Amino acid sequence: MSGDLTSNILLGLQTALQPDNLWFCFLGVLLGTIIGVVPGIGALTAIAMLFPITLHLQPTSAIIMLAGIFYGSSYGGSTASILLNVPGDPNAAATCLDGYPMARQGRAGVALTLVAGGSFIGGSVGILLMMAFSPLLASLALKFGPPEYFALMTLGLLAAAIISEGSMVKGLAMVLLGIFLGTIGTDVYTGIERFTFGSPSLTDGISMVAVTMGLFGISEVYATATDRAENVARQSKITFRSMLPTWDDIRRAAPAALRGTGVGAILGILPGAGSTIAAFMSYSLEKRLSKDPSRFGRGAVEGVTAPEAANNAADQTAFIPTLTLGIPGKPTMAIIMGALMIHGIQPGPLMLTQKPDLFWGLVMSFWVGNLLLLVLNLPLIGIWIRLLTIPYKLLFPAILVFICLGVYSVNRNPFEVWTVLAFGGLGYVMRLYGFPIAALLLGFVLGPMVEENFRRTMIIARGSPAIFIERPLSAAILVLAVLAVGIAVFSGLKRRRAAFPVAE
Amino acid sequence: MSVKFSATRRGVICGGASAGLLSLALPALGQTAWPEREVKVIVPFAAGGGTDLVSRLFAQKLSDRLGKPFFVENMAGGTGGSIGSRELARSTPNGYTIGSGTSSGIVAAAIDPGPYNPLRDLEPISRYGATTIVLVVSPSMPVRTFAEFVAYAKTKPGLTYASSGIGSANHLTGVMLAKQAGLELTHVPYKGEGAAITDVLSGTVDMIFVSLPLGRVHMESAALRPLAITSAQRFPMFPDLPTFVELGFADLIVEAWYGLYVPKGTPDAIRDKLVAEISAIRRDEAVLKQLIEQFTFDARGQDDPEKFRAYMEAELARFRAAALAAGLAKS
Repeated sequence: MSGDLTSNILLGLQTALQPDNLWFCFLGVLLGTIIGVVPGIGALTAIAMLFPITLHLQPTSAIIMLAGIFYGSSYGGSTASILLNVPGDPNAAATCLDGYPMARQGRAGVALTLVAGGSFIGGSVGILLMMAFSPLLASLALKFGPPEYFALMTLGLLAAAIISEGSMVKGLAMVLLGIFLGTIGTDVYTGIERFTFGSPSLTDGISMVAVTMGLFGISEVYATATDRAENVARQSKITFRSMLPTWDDIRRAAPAALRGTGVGAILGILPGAGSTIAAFMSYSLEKRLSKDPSRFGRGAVEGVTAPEAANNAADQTAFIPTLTLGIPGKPTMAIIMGALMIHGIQPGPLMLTQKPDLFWGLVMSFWVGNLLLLVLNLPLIGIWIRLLTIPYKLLFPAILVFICLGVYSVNRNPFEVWTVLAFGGLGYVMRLYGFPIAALLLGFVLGPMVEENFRRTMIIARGSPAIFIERPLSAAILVLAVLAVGIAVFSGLKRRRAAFPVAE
Repeated sequence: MSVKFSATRRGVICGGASAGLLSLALPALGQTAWPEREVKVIVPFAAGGGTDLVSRLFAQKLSDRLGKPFFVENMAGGTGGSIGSRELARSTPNGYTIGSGTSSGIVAAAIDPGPYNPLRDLEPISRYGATTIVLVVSPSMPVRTFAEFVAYAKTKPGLTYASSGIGSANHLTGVMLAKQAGLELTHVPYKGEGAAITDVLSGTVDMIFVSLPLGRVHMESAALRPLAITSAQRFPMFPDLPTFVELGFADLIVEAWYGLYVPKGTPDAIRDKLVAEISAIRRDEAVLKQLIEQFTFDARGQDDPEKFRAYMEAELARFRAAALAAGLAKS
């Protein structure tokens, strides 16, 4: 088995290190980084635009490049989150929560360095898992039936309540508002349209990209436009030293990155879960585990490295169901699969044996790509920070245009531009009155998944809820969820009891 | 119902007549001139999907043959690709915006005639080709043949079948089989075929009527067991697999086809040229090989727009009946 692995690695390296493939890998990760940094323009748009070009390339080079754009954008996505509080990609939204406060404390360079490190750890461990356990992980993905999804998404919703800053009531209200917004669209089980008011643009529901970019990105543009105070990120001097994390930072960040990797790797395998959820879930895990949760939202390094490690790990493991089962878990994977198919390669259980050079070449190119990204990103940090010297009156209108372009380009539907602007307004009002944005987003994404999988489970089990505890995996996750609620309630009570004597 | 149908047909005839008038009025346009510049091909589904890949193949060949770029623009969304198809219907009918459509547009129109009906809103040109649907069961089911399946399903009413969504072709095939074979089957809808087949692979759901391009790898790796196919004749790639027609269900033919449409009022000369070009491309050896091997097509297209239209009308009627039987049809 291990000898097998060695020969497979060698075969893969042979493919990945061919000058052509190396060049396309570099091109892919460079493009990905740039696309990731520019707010709004996401990997999906870039891959869809470049997909026709790849039809004229060797299949291996083509896939290596498209994949490079995909995981490269996760590296770049956090840059704008940290510097401008505007996520470059939806999956970097969680990084705003603590990344931007760090930048306002003059620690933008440190945050960017930590993110590059965290992303590298997440990506690398994700690849290691893929190399060693692809078939096993594919079978884990298959073990996740409707009851397991229901359990996991319920846990996610509870995490959404935990994540919220300040008032629990406001957090719950936003989760509920998110769930409500998630119900808009065609009901999966009856085909009946809910709250669409007959608009064809709403039959598929509100676009998740538009909601995320509106709530996190556009709202920041509005806020900056109305805020006259110099309430902005700054970096006093750009020196090599100012980018180095302290020993204390590393001590906190390293285990967080590893935990984030774990969360991301598991969620990445599951079709439909995605790296945005992975980032938020690992953020709330860090907050839960922290001895002092009040540090979160004020520049906690764990809150930056964990989500970044998670979304990069998720991006790598997302290839597992695509390549080994032939089931794309997200639209970007569907395009990559399409690129394979047009070259006559059927992704699926037989690909490992029929096209080992392509599979292992791709996996090893991920290593090369992640290494390139690390090397590429560290020197770029200085350049990105200089972006802050551009006057906001020039920078933010440009960001507004980029976000609108990016949202429009996904489906070429002008309705989505209005959606993103409207959610920008909602996000702005929510910030003014202290409502947690992340809670709304998680409710919006997870609510429909909870409903969909609950109803599916009920159909399969013929209405018997016993199935949730009969299946070991779903039972285990539900126990975790109950524990999470228990601990939250218990610690809440303890804090309240502890607070009384002080009050007296 | 019948009133509605004749109305649709009259609309079609009017559309054809006005197209004829337009081309009389504009004799200079067409014949040798078209295309003088690039042509947009609207694909009403996402990049990388089946419709997209087939459309790109034909667009590439059209560019090669006609010397002007034919570029694909993806405009996904809506049931059966209604958002992109409606955009195509609204485009100027001058031959510089054309588009693809699939059987899913007809299935959607059979359920809800309101928002979009390719026969009413667009002018069909030709059928690129079709793939088909296979009944596959999870290997945990103790059946090897279709006869065993029917016997087993009778003893166990309520076996589950997954589909890519309510009112999809995968769903309606299940409805048709349940009705014609007198079985009680439970429908489990998903968002997309990929998610649906996952739960069949794990044995959580008993079976799926899956489109051949997606099901193929799992049939080849024996992860799923095929029982019967919905094509009219046996499929070249799986010659041992019986058709439902052979098994006694004469009406159970479901094809997933792809075709080319233009907006109504596109000049005759341009339409004729497109018909001739698509026909020639489909006879290209390399294209044929790609269609059969990569897209799992049966390579039977349709180059006669009138026959294509008649076929679509028959399909619409058949799916309308199935949708009514399933209680899904909207007026």
